[in-house]
Amino acid sequence: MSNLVIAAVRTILTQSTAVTTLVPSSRITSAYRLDVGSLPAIVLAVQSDIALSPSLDRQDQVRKCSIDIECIAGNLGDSRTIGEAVRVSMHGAKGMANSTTIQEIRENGITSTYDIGAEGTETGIHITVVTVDAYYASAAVNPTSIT
Amino acid sequence: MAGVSGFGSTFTFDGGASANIISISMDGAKLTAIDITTIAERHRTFTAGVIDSGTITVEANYDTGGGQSKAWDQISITAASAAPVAKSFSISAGGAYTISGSGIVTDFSTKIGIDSVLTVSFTVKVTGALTIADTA
Repeated sequence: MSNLVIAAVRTILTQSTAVTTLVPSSRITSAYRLDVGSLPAIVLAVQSDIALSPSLDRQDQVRKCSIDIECIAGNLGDSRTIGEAVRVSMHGAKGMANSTTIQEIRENGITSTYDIGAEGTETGIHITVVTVDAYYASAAVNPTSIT
Repeated sequence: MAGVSGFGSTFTFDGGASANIISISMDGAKLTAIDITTIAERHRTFTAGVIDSGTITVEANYDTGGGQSKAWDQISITAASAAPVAKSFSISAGGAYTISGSGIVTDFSTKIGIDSVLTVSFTVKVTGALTIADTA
């Protein structure tokens, strides 16, 4: 299910004009980004996807998917500006996207790092990571009987 | 076998199974010990009094399908026209044993917090005797 949540988060970002004004939709991706790719860009990555409502009868379905939204730019100011736009658009976002009902998305912290680049031909990049928690209802389980 | 997982345990009240249960606790049946010591005795002596079958507390994640409605209906102010009376209940403990009897819902509460699902809890005061049976 976390793949659907990632897709839903990407949909929310691409539907935010505040975000797409800073970063074109084509550069908001959950795929890899080339070291020489155009900047700025946003890359999504799942950190964890945990059960939030374990119950004795196994009917628990609410899960929390923690996602890092990496806002990449050539300087710290631009990177932080994108991160702030992401925070504003994501915190409290809810609804249905990609057939997945997102109960609520909560922003859970922002950090910034500078990646100097490993190769001599690479330029350094500033990465502002906005961590969000997406609360969603997963599909009901259908346990297999072990025989 | 020493040790049985509690997964799959159920609580049924008035014929309706409560869903999404996260814990079932029973504070235990208690027998009153009546002191019958006389001044002629060096050691206290007791005789058995009556048995209080105790209280059962059930915690559950709020169930959008009304999985706790039986307990809620009994104590709900909106349903006050139907006077609460003792209903049958049954606990199936991990498929190892069952506890059954009759009880009255005396408390119903809910908890709403950050980074957690909605939970409800209710308390059943047991009236009369309990029946405990092994099923494993």
